[in-house]
Amino acid sequence: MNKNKKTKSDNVFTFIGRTFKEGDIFTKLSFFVMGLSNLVRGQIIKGLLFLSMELGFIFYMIMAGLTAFTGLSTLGTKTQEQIVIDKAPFIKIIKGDNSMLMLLYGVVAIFVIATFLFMWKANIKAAIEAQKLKEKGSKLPSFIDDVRAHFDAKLHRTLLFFPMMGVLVFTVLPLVFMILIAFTNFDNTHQPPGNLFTWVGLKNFRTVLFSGQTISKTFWPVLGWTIIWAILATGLNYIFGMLLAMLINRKGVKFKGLWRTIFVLSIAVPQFVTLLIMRNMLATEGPINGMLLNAGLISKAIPFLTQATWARVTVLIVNLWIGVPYSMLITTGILMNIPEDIYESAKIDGASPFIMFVKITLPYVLFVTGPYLIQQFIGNINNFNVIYLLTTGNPSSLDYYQAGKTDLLVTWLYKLTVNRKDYSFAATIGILVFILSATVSLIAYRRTSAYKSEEDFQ
Amino acid sequence: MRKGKKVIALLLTTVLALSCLTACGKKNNDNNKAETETTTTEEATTTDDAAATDDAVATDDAAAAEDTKLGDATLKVWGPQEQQEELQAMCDAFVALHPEDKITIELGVVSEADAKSEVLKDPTVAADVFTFASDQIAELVQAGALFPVAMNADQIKANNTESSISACTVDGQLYAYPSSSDTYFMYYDKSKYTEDEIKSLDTMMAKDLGDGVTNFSFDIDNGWYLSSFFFGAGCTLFGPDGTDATQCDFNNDRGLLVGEYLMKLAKETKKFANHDDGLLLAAFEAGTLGATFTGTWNAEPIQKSLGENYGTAPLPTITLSNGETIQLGGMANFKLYGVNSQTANPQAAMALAEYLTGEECQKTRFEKYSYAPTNLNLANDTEALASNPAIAALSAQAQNATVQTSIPQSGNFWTPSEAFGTGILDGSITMDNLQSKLDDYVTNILATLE
Amino acid sequence: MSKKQRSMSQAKKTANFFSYLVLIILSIIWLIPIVWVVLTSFRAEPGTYSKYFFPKGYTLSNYTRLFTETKQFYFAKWFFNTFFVAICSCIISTFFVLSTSYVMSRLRFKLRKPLMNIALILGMFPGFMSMIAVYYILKGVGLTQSLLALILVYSGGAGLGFYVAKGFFDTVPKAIDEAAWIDGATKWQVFRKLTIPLSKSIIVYTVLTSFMAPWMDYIFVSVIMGDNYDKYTVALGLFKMLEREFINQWFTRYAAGSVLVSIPIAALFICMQKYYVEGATGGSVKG
Repeated sequence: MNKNKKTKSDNVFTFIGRTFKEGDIFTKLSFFVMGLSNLVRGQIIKGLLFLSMELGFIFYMIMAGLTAFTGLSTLGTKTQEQIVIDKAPFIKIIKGDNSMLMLLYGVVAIFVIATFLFMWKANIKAAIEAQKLKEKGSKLPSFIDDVRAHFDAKLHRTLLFFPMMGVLVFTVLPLVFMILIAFTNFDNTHQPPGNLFTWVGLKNFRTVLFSGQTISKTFWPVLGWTIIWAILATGLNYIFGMLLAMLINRKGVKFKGLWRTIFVLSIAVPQFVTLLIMRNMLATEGPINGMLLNAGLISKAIPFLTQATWARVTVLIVNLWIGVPYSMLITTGILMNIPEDIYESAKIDGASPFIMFVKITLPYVLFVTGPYLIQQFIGNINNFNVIYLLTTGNPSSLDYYQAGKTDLLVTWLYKLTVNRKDYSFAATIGILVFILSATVSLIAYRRTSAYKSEEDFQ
Repeated sequence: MRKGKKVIALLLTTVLALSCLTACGKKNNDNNKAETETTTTEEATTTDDAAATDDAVATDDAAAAEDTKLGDATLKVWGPQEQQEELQAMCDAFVALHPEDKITIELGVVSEADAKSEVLKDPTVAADVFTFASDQIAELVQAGALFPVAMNADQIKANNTESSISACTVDGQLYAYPSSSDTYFMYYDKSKYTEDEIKSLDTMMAKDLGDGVTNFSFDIDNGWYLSSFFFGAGCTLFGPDGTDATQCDFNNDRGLLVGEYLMKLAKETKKFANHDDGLLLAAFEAGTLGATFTGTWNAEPIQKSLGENYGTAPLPTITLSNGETIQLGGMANFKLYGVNSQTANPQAAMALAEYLTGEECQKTRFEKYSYAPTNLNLANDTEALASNPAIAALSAQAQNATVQTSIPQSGNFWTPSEAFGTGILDGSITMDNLQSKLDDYVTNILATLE
Repeated sequence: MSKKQRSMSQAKKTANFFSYLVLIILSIIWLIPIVWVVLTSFRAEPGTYSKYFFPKGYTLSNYTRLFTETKQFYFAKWFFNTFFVAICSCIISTFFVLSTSYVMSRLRFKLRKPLMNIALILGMFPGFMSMIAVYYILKGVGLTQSLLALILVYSGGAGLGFYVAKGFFDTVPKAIDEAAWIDGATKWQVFRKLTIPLSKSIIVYTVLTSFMAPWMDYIFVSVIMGDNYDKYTVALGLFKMLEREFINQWFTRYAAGSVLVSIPIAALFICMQKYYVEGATGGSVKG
């Protein structure tokens, strides 16, 4: 497979060079006038499409693209100004550049240019192909033929086109923008429209990681809690979910469907309802404390959400409420798939239920649900809802900057953007969260069998 | 491999769509550029005698008369959801006042608390005139989102209370129109305390109100309320005039006494409680609360709960451990109206903002929503104010309140205050580490990110 | 012998007894919050907190007032908005997810592996950082403050979530496809006539998850809709009810609204449970 790859994709530049050499005058001219080769050789619609694309691109570049692209280097030079004038309203505000929009439009321009280059290469390929087919004397595929091919041999392009456009516009483009923000000083003191911001290189990363000042004094402990939380939340949910599934699956237990449905309810009710209700119930003056106090079980309200250690335990437990049904659902079917005879023979060998769980059930389920587990872990690193809706990261701490004791990196970065408008630092933290997730999943995915044996199923 | 035309066609449309997107953005820039070119020439002629014109204009009656002509304008106004109807009526009245101009007003729902983030999200589509809480002014000005008050500034300054004007002023320039005063004061249950007892918090706390009744509560983990103790003891935030981002002395020996007092207070779990709005209302309703600190927005439900026993008063005094008795301070907040710096019709927008904060509208808000007026005519009308006990208490309290500072650093005040209050509550702050916690508190307030 | 059998069944009985006991206790724990929301939604006395579980008085007015007192919160309108957005975005999302996953599972082409890896990486960035950029992109094409914008935001990135569905398609034997190709069917025909009908459970799973998203999101809506109250969705509306100015008066109505939002989702979910499990485990498990 690797060998194939190398011969196939001889590098783009040699391909272009070779084509230019081999091409006739029309193919050569297609380098400048897109679609010419196709037009001349009778593929009118195809040629016109290429041509109009080129015209569109040129139009865009003249109208906006060039300025947008070059604007990237400075992110704006003209600050908003006030001047005094002699007629009402006596002050005039002269609008300046908006660094944020310049950055965004710059990114858009890069995307447009990249798309154009891609299509330009496709145009050259089409040009030389048309030329060669003509030389061979074979019939050139008509436009209808091309369309048909896109529902058969090239179905992947047709099917992927819209989803990929969606991802490009709504995920990739904003993401590139966000990543670039991390290298600027777009923070509280550099807000548009009154201020410009500019590139600062790796400064934000240095501040967050190594400055030893406010923000890095918060980053490391919050990172620590994020990791502890992700491990505990994932592990506990998984184990308890499996145990619950085993309990329901027990031979003697009736109404299996009913039990499952009861637990599944907690998935079906939106989290912003259940979590906010839990927050209310667990409040110092909420019904749980109220009832415990009334029953005389405690003499003082339990600070479920207001004291650091309690709050951390509480969020983990509430997360069990949210997460256990999921893992129960997932593991139920898998458990039923374990061949009964393995247990029988283990029983004859005198294995205790615990031994059977550890030696048979756990490895089997782990094997099948490996990727799911990794997903859950990543999901928990980014588990915004449970933390934000339940505690909003509180109780806040004097040791941290704009963060509380249950804040995960994601909730902290959300607060930084919403409360303090420190976009650059939030973006930096976002990238660091990504690096953390990517590292973990890279290591883990490589180890799961599901990744290696993708083709084996088929 | 042959090329697919369908893909190409679709990509083409996308490219075109993207070019439109970017072209739109560009067009705006072009407009700006054109604007700059025309205005730079103007600038050359006007900047020299800028100061002179400013003064001249304010006093020139003829010019002022000419200003009533606003020209045609479409304006967007933001106000909180619960006041939309009233706001609509006020805007209609404004339009009626200017029959010769074609003014169209459109309303949008953004509460005072959300104004800053909504405006800064996209100033170009934000309302021309919007209302916001005064603690947002520094950041709005820093971001260049507010249009300076250029018309009738002197008159506005003369019409409103001094403290409200200072809340609208940043670096000596008036940036907003005060609409109401919004500090907090004390509500109490007259069946539980006499008018004498409520003068001192210590007397109140000493009284035995019976089982299950909280003598006194306040939102201790909220810097707005917490600061009243520090201000009362004479501590300052951001220097004496609240403009020095490197100064805060909450950790001096006075602050230490305050911390001690708060710890003592929090330890009395039977008599003291940390109540947010929901809790204090529930407690008044259940008759299990003696007194609390909160603002006018809770006046109506509390009055309903307490009925005849509804009482309001300025904040009480406390006696520190060195025997000294101090009057609690407080943080004065105001609701302001501002004009968006990106507005296309600054003149009409300013006129509207001025109208919406004028005497008449303030009076309506006072009557309808118990908003304490900042307009001097109304604020000095003690008789009218006395009809509303909450406003009366607020006005009395406002004299002790420190105006919330108007520097951007003040945005950093809330989270550390919450942390300090939480520490007092959960007992993690003790006599032994109080000084170091106070030092941390101050460090966090003054923290910068560099 | 019979004695031993009896003691065995005795042991089994106790084991069953304990199983039921644990299940009942757990069920109660799981149901308490849900029951409490429902009880609160019928609570007659207003206010945020109550120190007791069962309300002192019951009323339907929390529900009726949600629809009649529309001066501040347009609940019915928001409910309809959400429903509309959810339907549209789940159709688009399902199409995106199915196409992508089918392609990644069944068709072989040069960029397949790289694209899959990129998708995996993209999924790991915390999404809401890019909110502000998404907002300006939508503004650029003149779509802010419209339901269409919301639909695009909820379904635009759906193509990335193909992993589960791909796992499902991987389990459908490829031999079926190949037989059809030999018979002269185009790949499109195979996809439409063979694969789709076989993938009921994964379709239901995708529909379900994408239908639920608009009911749960409150962050993107608030960024996109800004001051346009008419176009809010229920999640954001319910969130607004919990703001300082409203919470005390509106908490019981918030509960009522929550119940109304939860009913369609929960009903759908419970009916489709079986498919959900099959889908969520990529078909390796039949529910």
